[in-house]
Amino acid sequence: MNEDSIASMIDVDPKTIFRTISPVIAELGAFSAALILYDTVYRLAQQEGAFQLAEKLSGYFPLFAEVVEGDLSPTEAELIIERRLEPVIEELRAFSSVVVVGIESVILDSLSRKLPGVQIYIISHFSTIDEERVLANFPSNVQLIGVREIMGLGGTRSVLLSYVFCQTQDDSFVYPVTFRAIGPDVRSSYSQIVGLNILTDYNRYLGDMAPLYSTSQFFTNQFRIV
Amino acid sequence: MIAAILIIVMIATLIIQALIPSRKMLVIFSGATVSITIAAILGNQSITSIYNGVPWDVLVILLGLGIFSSLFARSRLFSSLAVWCSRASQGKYLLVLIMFSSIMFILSCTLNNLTALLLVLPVLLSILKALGATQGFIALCFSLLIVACNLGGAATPIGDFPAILLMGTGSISFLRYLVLAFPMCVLIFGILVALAVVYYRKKERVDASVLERSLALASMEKLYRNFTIDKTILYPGIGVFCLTFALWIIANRIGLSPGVICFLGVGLLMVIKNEEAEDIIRHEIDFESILFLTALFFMVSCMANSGVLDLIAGLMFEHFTDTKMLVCVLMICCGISTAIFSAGPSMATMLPIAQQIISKGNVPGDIVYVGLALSVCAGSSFLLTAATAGPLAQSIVEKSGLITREERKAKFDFMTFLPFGIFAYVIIQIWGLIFVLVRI
Repeated sequence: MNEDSIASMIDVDPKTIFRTISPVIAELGAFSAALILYDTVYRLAQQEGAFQLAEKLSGYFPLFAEVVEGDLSPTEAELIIERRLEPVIEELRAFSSVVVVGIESVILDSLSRKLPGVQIYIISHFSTIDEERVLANFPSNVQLIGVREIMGLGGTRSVLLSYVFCQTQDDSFVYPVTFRAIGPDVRSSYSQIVGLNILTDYNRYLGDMAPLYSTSQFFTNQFRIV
Repeated sequence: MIAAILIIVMIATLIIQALIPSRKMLVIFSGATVSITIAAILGNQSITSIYNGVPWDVLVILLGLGIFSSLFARSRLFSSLAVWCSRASQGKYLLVLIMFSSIMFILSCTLNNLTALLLVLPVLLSILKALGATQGFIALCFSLLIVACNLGGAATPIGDFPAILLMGTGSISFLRYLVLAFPMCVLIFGILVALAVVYYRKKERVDASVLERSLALASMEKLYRNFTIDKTILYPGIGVFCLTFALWIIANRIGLSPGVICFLGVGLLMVIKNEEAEDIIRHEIDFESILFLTALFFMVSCMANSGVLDLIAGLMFEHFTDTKMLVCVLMICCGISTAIFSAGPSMATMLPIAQQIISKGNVPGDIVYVGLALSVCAGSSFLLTAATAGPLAQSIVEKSGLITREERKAKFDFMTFLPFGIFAYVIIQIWGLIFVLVRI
């Protein structure tokens, strides 16, 4: 594929691409959506095209550029996630319920399948999602809840889990809803607050997420997933 | 005099319920109460004769088909079909248009089109969101979908209320209706799709880029990644439905009424899938429309017993000596009244008049009945408010927050639909008239 054909393939309005990927970010998660976008662009315009699109989209979807720079295909990502989730699953097996703040389908698909005896509650990171469709993709031990219900689900047999994006030293980015979910009141009612680290370091400020300073203070355990 | 009062009550009720849809149940029940009181006290009609005028079989069939539709919906059949359509369309607008309207036509042939719309539209909206469709395409696509629902409903005797009424009242046999109406509806649907394609090619032409299309398809694939059909519900459902369908075909030979067959089918299904059936009956059955139609049938029964409908038929005979012309006038009146009052009231009122015309004019009843069903279909496609599918589609599009390629909120309302509606009405009505004129 020559440069011209790559350029013509990528010659799209970033707004239209962001519009197309937005429902996926909402229902599958930002990282999972970035993997899908990367895979699609890679198949059409290879690595060069993905780099060009990442630059175009950096104002709308900066996490995509971070994924492209990590050069991680969805298949590779799934293999890595599968392997690195094992200790997390072992840790979670001891609990009766897990409250997950935010959706990342590449992680939750595996987690829900491997923890059939654990009730998993998901708090969406996006306000408007097709709840029926989201739930139809998960086994019956998964339930969607609102952030207001988080306190009532606490207890010694409950664990809170969320995603930590692009951590650099002790600073990172989280879904804005995670901020509410890891507040001091909530932290006191859960026996563990687990952070799943997705990507390390960043070259672009993830403007669509919330910065979290002193990350380690908020989580009792952190696992590097990707 | 009594007959005139009953007509006035009926027309006033229909107009008020059309003007205040939020109070339509109150209006129709008030109308029924007034009609029954007038008929019983002033017209000396017995309550039993009014009850006997209600086609209970029709209500049973509507109830039974509602249960079947809900059960199929639970099996995720509709959504899976819609996802398959998105995949097969390859993200091309034209294929999206053809495939989704075809799937709506097929589903509406046998199942409740509201349930089908409720489950197919979210998938269609997702693919349109991902592809970034233009306002023109959105209007064309949803309009064609509504018309496909109406045509599918008219294609079989169990597709929609007018056809169910014809079969339930014994006006026409299941098989005869199917043989006459199905090919006509397929033909008209084919013509409308072809015209929509020509219109799209001339007016729209915009298509999503390769990257957008590939991304839209990949997104759909992931959004529905573990979406599977529940075979434990689907297989027994299909089995019982096919059995019921077969019994309807041979209903005349085995001497069972369509209502009884429906009872048998639904009963069997409830025994097999008792847990789901219990839940469906408690929470999902649309009792509102069944009650609405019951009240309407009471009013029509009062009018029929008073002899006013015979009188109207007699007057029509006086004005139109040519029977063919008379049938055509009846069909056009039926189409227009459907556009204003919707299919239920229109067909329930026109059917007794049609029966009189058929018996006095010595014309083949089955042809006239199918002609009437096509006219009702034309009327339902005229205005967005004429059929329940229209307002439902409008509200789903509004709530979806669909944004057009022009970066505006997508619009699908009365005025957006009107040009397509007029066009569809004319096409369906003309073909209905041709069908009747050629066959009589």
